[in-house]
Amino acid sequence: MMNSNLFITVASWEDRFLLGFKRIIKKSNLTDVQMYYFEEYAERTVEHREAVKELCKKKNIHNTNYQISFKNSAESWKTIYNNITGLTKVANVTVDITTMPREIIWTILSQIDTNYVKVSYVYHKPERYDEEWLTRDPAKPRLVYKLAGMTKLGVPTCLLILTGYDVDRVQQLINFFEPSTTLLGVQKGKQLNNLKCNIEKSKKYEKEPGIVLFNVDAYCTDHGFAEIEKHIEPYINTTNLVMSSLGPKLSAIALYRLNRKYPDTALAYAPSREFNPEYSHGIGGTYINSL
Amino acid sequence: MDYNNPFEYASAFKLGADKIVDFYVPDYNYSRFIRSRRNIFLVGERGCGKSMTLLYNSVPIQQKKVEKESSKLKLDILCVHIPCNTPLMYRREYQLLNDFKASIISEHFLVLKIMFDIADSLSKIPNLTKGIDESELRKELGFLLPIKLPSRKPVLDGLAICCQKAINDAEKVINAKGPNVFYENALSFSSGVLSLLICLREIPKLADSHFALMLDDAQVLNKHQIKVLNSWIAYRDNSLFSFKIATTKVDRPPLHTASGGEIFEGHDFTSIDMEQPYQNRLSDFGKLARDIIRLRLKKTGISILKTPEEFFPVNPQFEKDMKKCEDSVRKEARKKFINGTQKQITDYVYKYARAKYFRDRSKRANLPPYSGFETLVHLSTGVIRNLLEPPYWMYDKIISEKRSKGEENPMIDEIPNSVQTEIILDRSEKKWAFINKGLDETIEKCSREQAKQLENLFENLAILFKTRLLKHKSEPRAISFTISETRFEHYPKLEKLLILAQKAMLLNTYTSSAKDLGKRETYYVPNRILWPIRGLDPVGQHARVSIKAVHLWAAASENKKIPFSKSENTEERGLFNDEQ
Repeated sequence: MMNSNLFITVASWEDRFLLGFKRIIKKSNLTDVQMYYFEEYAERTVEHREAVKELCKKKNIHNTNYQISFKNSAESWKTIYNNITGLTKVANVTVDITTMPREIIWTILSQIDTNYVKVSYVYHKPERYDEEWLTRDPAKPRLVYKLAGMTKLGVPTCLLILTGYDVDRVQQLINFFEPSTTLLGVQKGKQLNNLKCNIEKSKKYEKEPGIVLFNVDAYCTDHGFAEIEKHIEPYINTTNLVMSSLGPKLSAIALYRLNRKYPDTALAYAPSREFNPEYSHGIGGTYINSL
Repeated sequence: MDYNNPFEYASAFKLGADKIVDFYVPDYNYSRFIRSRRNIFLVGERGCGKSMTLLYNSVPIQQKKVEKESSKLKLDILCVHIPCNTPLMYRREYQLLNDFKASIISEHFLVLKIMFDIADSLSKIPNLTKGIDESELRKELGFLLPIKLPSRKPVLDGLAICCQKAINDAEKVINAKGPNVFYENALSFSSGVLSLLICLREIPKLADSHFALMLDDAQVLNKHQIKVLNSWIAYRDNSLFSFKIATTKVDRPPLHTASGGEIFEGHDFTSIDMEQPYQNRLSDFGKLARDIIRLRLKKTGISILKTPEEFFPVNPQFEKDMKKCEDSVRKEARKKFINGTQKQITDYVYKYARAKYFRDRSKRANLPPYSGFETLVHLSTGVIRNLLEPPYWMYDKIISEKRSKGEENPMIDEIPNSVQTEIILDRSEKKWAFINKGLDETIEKCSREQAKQLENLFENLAILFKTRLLKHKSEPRAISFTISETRFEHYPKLEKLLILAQKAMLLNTYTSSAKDLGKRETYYVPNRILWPIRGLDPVGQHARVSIKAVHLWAAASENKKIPFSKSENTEERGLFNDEQ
């Protein structure tokens, strides 16, 4: 039985958003739900948001909705900041990272004062992803507000990317940051078509100069933290290390922890301007853990 | 990759000082402008040599060069390389502040970065402060700048440390949780950079020095930094400092200043287009390309005596077949121009000999055996990185094969023509795969619809150029185009599309004079590596196809073929009149 009070989520049209929420409220005694939704996808998420509203009403859970947007990240940051600071009276916060963009995950986690609040995160795997495409029309990569580290002048940039199904976006990040070294963490395993859509496609970088490939498992207990740490260690003090994840959502937790452990490193987000309406189908296993 | 590939084509930063000194070719381009007291913009897309030019001229590399040559560094113009593509410049916390505060913190970061690079660069000059009392200089710097220099370090090293500390102090404040956190002790250009330069002039050896502040990748600066930079460019007195700004053509920063004014080309700065229009042995780029390859072969000890043409030999059968075509076309020309001049004959051969080779090939024949140094230069489309990329993979292939056969230190004295053909076709195929897969997956702000339109556009350009190669009467090998009749409602959409193609490195542009009254006109040159897999001739001719905007748009948006007429639709340029 979970013992969370506040539940923070980002609304999505994916099956697993609503199915996951139902799973959570069955098992927990939530008192508040903070639901963010993107202006750009407001129409697509309206049905699920209404459903969450109804479920909260039935369970007598206080539910507040906040609109944020991809195109105005500063305003979105401020909205989150205003809602998260002052959460000192809340005993437990559960952050549902399933359909939450990585930038929002990192912003929320960094704003919660862990001196007062116990933080957990939850992630629902889908049953399957769409095979055609997941995201398109990439926007400019960006460093995350307040998590851009401490710059070392006169040293090269090292870029860590955890690859995902849109392997071509790796090139976009490399072109943008022009690092001297790129560390590519490739998710292990055959789950969810990973072999075909990620491992096979990442192989094209094997022979590229300045690129080092390694395997990582975001679904293990530390979400790849130790493996990634081993690979970034030689670069932490000698480069400006920028870390980004295009891979499994749980790897965002590993990167967040690494950023907290090594505050000189920067977290970068590679936004997309178009998501497949059929991004994923169904719901698979659920991961719940404390931060 | 643990061997020394002479055709390393990645960013100039990765080459290291020795290779920059060895590989840089200072002639035939505009790098001489760098060592002037004028404000200069170097404009060009990725890979055209902007960073290499700036780095080569920078103090540390020049110091390395004079050490190699056992000579002495000239201190009249000191070029300071200031790379902007660093995580510091990507910080976005200024967006959480109001415009005034955002502008101040943005300038502070840029000023400290410049000051650090000045100190770091000058610290590479040996004995610069020899014979002067450093404590006096330290005092003066401490008086002018709000910093306390460490007394145990050489003054310039100490200054670099202070800049690093000042940046981190500001970052600590900026990284704090709230939205309105603001760093109070911010520096401006005049309180920081200008004070520093004035102070440095106190060093006797620098008393008459001019500081060329070379900002590389300036397109990444934020809007506040661009405005202050433009304001500094507008500063008319260039006796103490000037700016050399390298930026991409697409996304080139606007020219507004912080006070609402604007800087003007010719008045405040001079622009240099780093993309070179033509490639043949006599053109500037042709000479530059030859020297680049020759130097790389020589300096890496791979082939001291061989010329680039010998290192990249042409397929002998191709050469033989081409010779036959030339002879046959020459005969034809002599019949056509019975009392004609030699020029008429030569021009005729130039126009039709290569076209005849491509026209006479059997439909069932394989793709032509693309090879030879000249072909590589044409395939580069005037971009140095494009010139080096195929040779890099050719060299890599041969080394890998030799190693797999057990050779530990394989020697390569030429790239066989078969390997050249294989790699050229492979790179060409990969470029099309990049287009066909959907540019919306990699190119910023490219929608799915635009990606499809670009795929259609390049497909239809390939069809047009192929049709021309096989059928056009006067300019069969034209593979660049201009756009006519641009007063067309969808022209802005077409323009956006062409900008995306430039971003994707699929299209190069440059301006040249049009026929009517010397008006300047934009020439569009698709990346020539696209053509081999389509059986086209990447060695274009000095002509461009004039295409109506409405037809280009229809090709892109409706996948309609671009109209072709056997004898019209082309404007010929004089053979060499556009060459720089």
